[in-house]
Amino acid sequence: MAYYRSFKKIMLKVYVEKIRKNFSVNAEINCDAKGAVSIIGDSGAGKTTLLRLIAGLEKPSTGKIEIKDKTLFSSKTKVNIPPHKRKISYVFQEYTLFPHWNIEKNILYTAKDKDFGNELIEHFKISHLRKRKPSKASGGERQRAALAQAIARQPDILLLDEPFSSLDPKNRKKGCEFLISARDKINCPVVLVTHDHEEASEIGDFVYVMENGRILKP
Amino acid sequence: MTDITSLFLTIKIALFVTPFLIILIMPLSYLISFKNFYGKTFTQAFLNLPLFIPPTVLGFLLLLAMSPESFLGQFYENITGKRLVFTFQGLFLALMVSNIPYAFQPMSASFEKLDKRLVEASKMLGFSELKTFFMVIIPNSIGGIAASCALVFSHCLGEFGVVLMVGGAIPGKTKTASVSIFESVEMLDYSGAFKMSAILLVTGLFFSWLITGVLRK
Repeated sequence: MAYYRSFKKIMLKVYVEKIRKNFSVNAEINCDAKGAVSIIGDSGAGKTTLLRLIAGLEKPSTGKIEIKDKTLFSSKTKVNIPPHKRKISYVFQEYTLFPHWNIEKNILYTAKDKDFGNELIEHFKISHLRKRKPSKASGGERQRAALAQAIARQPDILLLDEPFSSLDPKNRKKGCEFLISARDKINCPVVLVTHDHEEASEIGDFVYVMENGRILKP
Repeated sequence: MTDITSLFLTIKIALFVTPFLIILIMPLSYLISFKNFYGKTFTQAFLNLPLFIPPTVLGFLLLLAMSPESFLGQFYENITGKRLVFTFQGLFLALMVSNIPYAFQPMSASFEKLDKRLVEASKMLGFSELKTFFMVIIPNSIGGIAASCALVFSHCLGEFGVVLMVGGAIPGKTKTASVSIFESVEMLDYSGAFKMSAILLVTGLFFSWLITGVLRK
């Protein structure tokens, strides 16, 4: 397809199909090494399912997912790497920090480099929450902590599933700004799913439109 | 007169059964709460079976299963050279079986109540299934596990039918507090029965308070 030509070096290749009883997802997306793609679409378009298929939380019916020449899933060769071995970070719609750990442990426990993790804590302005449990932080702070946690792992792909949708407009904007300013710290392809057009174009270098489980156009 | 030996024996067996049963039931509760497999409903029903049959019936069935003529009884005798019925070990095994639902129910309920997104988040952080179980599921299900422990322990203190059938009320070996109360009443020793009952009542109240407190948190 024409719009892939502008990618410098494709690092993430996804072609998946998931057939369910009344719904199927059929998508093909590509992204370069440090690029970010946004996928927009209405509720029920299949955006979250697509991310879950990439993450390995759901198994595609057919297709292929490749990252850095490594095949994560291939229906042809019957490769299906389990989710915990995929080196993918996933930020969910609502925060999923571990409630029994404080925010610092949530971020640093899985951080590849503790110094980088601490740098992210400073960057996302959550250093005053280090020793607090997630339940003692606000929604915006928790989501910033979840972003810091996901980036600190230095994953091969960063998947963002409407990360700011549960926040009020002010915190949503703030979260979006934090993410954009952290782009130079993210050394992997980013796939953002959202229904907010402004957010999609601000964060993504490319915007895909998804409707009824299919990617329509960039 | 208060039968201190039977009281100590009751506490000893409760202290043995509780950790062993909790450790045994934990992976089973996990499988039933998080996995789908053929025969899952039947397994659940089987684990809850001791709740639905009279303790005397369960005790009788266990007595048959542990008798020297049975496979289990013979197997045990071949290994240890001793009989399984009317021994502390036999009583331990019988209480393990009769307490399965008390360990299983609160634990599996708390596993099922756990936000499944936490398990998915754990996978996304690179945690294996085993690591997720120990580092995410167990710490966030402490209330249910504590309730299981308290229920099993207190039920061990009060079990009567199974204990009488399998243990045979041998003083110092298999005679537990509840059997001792029954014998005291039979011998019209109401004072002895009352003292033992009071001890069990206070212990029961303590565990009821513990469960209520833990579950509220």
